[in-house]
Amino acid sequence: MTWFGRDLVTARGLGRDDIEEILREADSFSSIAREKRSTDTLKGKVVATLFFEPSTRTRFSFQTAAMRLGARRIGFGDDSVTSTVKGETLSDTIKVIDACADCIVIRHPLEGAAQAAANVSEAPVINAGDGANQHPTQALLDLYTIRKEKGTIDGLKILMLGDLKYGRTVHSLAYALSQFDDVELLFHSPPALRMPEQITNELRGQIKMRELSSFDLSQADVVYATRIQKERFADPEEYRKYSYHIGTDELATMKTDAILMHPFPRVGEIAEEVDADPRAAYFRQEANGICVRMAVLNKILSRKG
Amino acid sequence: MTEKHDDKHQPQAEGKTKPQTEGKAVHGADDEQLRVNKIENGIVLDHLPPGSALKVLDALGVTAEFPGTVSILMKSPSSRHGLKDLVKIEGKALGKTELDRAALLAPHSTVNVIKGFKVVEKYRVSVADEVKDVVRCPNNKCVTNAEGKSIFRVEERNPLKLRCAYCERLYHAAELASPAHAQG
Ligand SMILES: [Zn+2]
Repeated sequence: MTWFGRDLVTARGLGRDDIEEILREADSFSSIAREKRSTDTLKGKVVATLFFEPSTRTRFSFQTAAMRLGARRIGFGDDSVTSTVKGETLSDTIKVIDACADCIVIRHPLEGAAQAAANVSEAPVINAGDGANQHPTQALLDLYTIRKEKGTIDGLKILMLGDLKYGRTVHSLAYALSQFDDVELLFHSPPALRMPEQITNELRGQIKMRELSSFDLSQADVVYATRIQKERFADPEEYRKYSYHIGTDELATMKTDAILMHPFPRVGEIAEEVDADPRAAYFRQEANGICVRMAVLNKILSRKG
Repeated sequence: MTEKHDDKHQPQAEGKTKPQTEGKAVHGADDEQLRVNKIENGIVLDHLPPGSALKVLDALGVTAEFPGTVSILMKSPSSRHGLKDLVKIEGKALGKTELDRAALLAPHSTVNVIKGFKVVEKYRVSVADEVKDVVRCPNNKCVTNAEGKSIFRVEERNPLKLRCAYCERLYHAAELASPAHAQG
């Protein structure tokens, strides 16, 4: 399926070819992003970033990607949302923006909001997170990071830690990883925050999955840590019991060539002392977001791709 | 064609029965009465999954306030597929939305439309590949509960499972048909 003019709403249904195309394109933009240069491949295009809930990192990452490709950007985020679109329906907002922009990037607290936007918009829509549902560009930048750090995605054991129930990044990533060969997903989470059964049921047969009964970092090639929000627990005792911490002691149990990833923000899951270890890949992962989002925007917006 | 069911001698619940007159054993008519009332005008839903009748009535919006006679037959041996449920509703016509909702619970059932004690129409319900604007999404964080129309796509037929085209959650058909999720 060609990327030109296409919506990117979900990682479900993204095929390996689709993914590989983006990863290759991201590689071609990586030096521009790293060296903070720009190109003019999207000169004259307008990219709208509509953030109905705050996420400074993701918004800046998309905006930087658009600007490094020579596109102009419009949009809102954080505090400005309230005055701009409060009281208006999502579909009205999208129709108005659709008349202005060549592409719409949307972040919204409601699940399915990006699909709803895509239904009324002529311009392609990119989902930058919809509730607990999907965050497909995060999955793509995670895959890009794994490939870059480990040289391959096929055959790896990937351990997902933390809130696997509400964490949309792990949902999108699990779907995307199912397209690769011989990957094994390992899960470890508080009992109440397990990977939803509907996802494991759907992925069964496509990817190996295993629940780890203990906090064991030693088997994984990639440790993908996510935060556990205190608000998920009614009882603060429960939170204390199930929150986890990766410091130098825990890091020492990881394979020497493993990598540690985190979609940010972290709230104490990973100690700062770990940052200096070469296995700590999370800042590189975050930075990769720019060239991956450049790849997505360029593939969707330029005919020659 | 008159109504005839293969379940004559099975226990049955009736929504409404005439009080029996003490000491006045009249055969024939009362025997008939003890089985299932024929209805003059209304619908008979046949071949419902065993045990589903009450939920089907809910999905159809037939509650205790419903003015017509309602007869329910549950877990009756059927010549075709083991046990089945059956409901007869006097004075009820079926709207498309109600029918689509009932179909989610009873995807293989048959609807008989009765007029003047005769079956004037008989058809099987069906669940389309896309069920649009019939039921609400049970996920309260789903955008369709804030605006727009719900769309569910059939992902599996046996058992019947549908996926919300927006929030991507997968549901058993029975979860969707619950009256709590009735559209509007
Ligand atoms: Zn939904």
